[in-house]
Amino acid sequence: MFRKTAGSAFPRWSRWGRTRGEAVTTAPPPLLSMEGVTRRFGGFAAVEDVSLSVSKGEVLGLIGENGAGKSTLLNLISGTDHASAGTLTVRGRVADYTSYHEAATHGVFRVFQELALLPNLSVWENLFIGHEEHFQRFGIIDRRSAIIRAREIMERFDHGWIDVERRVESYPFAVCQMIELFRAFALSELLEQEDPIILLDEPTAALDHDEVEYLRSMIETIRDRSAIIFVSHRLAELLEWSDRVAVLKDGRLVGQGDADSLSEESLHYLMVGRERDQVFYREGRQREPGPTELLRVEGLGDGESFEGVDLRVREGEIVGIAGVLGSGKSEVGRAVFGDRPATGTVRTRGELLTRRSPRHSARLRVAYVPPERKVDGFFDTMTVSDNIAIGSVVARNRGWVFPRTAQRVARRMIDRIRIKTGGDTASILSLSGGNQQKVVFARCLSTDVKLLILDNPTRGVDAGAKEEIYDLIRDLTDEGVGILLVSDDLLELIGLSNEIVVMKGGRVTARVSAPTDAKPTEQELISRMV
Amino acid sequence: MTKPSLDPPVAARRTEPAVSPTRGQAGRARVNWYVAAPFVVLVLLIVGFSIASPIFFTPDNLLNIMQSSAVLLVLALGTTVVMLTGSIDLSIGSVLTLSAYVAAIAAQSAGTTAAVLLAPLVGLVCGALNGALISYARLPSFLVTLGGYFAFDGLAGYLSDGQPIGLAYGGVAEGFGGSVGGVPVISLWAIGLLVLVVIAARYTRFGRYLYAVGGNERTARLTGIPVRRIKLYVFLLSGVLAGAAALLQLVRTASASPGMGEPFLLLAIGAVVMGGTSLSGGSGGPVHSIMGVLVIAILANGMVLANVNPYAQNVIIGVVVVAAVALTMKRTRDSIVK
Repeated sequence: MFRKTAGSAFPRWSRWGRTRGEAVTTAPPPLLSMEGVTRRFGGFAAVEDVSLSVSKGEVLGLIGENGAGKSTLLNLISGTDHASAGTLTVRGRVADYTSYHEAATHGVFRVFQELALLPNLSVWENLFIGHEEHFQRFGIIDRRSAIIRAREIMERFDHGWIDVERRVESYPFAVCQMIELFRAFALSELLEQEDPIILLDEPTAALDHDEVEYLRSMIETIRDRSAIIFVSHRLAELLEWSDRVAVLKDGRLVGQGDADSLSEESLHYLMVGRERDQVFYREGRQREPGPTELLRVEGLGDGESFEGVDLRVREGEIVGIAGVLGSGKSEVGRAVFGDRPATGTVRTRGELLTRRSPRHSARLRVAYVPPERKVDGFFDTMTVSDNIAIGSVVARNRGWVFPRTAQRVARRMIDRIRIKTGGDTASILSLSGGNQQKVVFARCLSTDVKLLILDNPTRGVDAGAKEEIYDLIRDLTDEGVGILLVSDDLLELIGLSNEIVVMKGGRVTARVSAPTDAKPTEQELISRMV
Repeated sequence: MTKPSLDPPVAARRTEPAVSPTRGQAGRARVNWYVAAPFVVLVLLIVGFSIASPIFFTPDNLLNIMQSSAVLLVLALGTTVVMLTGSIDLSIGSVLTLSAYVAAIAAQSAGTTAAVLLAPLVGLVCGALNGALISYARLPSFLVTLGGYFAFDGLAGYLSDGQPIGLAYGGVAEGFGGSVGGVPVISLWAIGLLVLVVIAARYTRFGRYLYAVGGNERTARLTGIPVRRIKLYVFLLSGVLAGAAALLQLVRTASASPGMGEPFLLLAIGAVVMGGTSLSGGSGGPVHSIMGVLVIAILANGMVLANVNPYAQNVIIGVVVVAAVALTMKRTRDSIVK
């Protein structure tokens, strides 16, 4: 399938690599191997002392919790990040790529978790992007031959129906995922790589059953001539597809073995089991919920990402929603807040909500902290105090606003939740991530909030600021505020929540109560998530 | 709420340094410069023209400048409000023309009161059309108001057959013409509207929402701000102000003429941007726009007095607008402001 090229297979690496004189005669040498690879961010090691290898014809499954270091590891291999220590060897040469482009030139291709296609360009342009020089004639791209080449590739992979001249954005997400996969092959062919190393970062997360099956068959057809690293949250899939499985936990390789000899249970066991620091999550301050029901959700569904979700949050209670990416947990949070249309009933304090929108929610003292702080968490044109005060302007529901009063309220809030800022009139952009997040909280709190919906409230926040946010959350529950907590961080969910609702594929699969003296383990949750 | 209690080890573990005071001060100094720059340009212009022409710095001429800047100021106020939300209104000039024609026709047949009421009302209707298409049909403001730019002007031409319609003496001209204590009445009206818009932007919920919507529409929505309604209001306001400006211009020129509003459009946008209101929304404000309006009015007046070649005048206005924006614009965002 891949075009045979004449001449030596590796002449062009001589410029980069030193030859490691290891001659292995018994087994084929691994296409990719790493030894003692470490990546530190400040004092924190995202990947630590990982040694792995993948041979031609082999599929290596890589698994681990969110934050275990899977993506970082793939970044190191694909040249988008640099190892702090350790060596990476590709085809027997030390690989020290400075960009993904360079890695691709050397036969390392990656299908990114979040689509890395340019939606406004056509399929063929995406297939060959960054490598157009192969179709160039006197500096002008020979569109026709590139399009013909792209069509050949599509046809060869039984996707001839994809019109390579159409824009990528006109195809649904799953098709785009396939296109991205084809790009890895198209490029490996274009760059005359006979044995590509292909990194698949959760390629199945957004695919439906048939597409997953197709992807599987595709991997089968190419596995003989390539080395594949496959990351997935779906354990069964991972075990079925891989020859070997490696488990990462907190950046370290905690185990690897033949897929045949492993079971889902044994993988669970290896993946989790981080020590949970009870002081860190302020578990001693967990409250018994009060009698008033702040939120009751019944049969919530949006016909797309979740269905039949029931929830209940009482006074002073923290209800966590756990689930992997694509489980629908974030969408449930947004739908409850009214930021996403959904059917089903939502009651706050017994009152049935007939119209749901962020505006109506805000009036009922419900606030939402979005997961992407930088994108929609705050107003980057405003000062710290204006960012906070706008919350009370919305809530007070009066026509007049007095800047002085608003600023005083904001200043009090800055003191109360200890926002570290150069002054209340400093730009919010001058704050650290943790303090920006506290400003987002402050805006919600300036409305005398009754129910708070949090989506990954400590994402991208350092440990010190996390603790302050946990303190704040506990303070709020002391006042009787109910909290619906959506989080990717299982320990955070377990540590903070009174009850955890576990979701999988858009449905609630379990409700685990988590009293202070009998917190569930990560394993218990994960077995319902994957 | 009780103060969050921090365990000692937590406090000790805080690694991130608070924002250093030097950084904060540098930021503040720069903000002051952005506010001061148009003022500096203004002072330079005044000094320059005073030297170039003995007539420039006389009470009569200063009043003249006030009067000539009144219409531009009112239009700039509407443009400021629209631009604060990150939208743009390209139709204000045509709305002015249309409103002026309707008012002039009404003044002939139905009397003064009808004319005075109809001008802002026509503006309001035009603004409602723009606003409804932008907020509820979710079309880009640039496109919708570009359509308005042609359509309202065309409508005015249709009404008038392309002929100017004069304003009879007395009536409207009397009520709005003349001066009070030496200050032209139309300037007083412009100042009155300025005060209203400044108060609205600073001291009302609507005003705060303008900045929020312009700052980040999505965050505004998540905070519970009725983003679409605010956008509708903004275009209504812009329309009404264009209608009011039509009345003032009608009084100044004593007639409605084809295309009378068109030259104001880009001058108003230029004045607002020069004043420091960002085209992408969220920063600036009506007070800022005063500076921009004055710079343009003084430049136009001074260059005539200083006998600058009329073609060169346009070149100079162009250069000053770009230079002033280059001086005043906050370039905090990495991307190129479109």
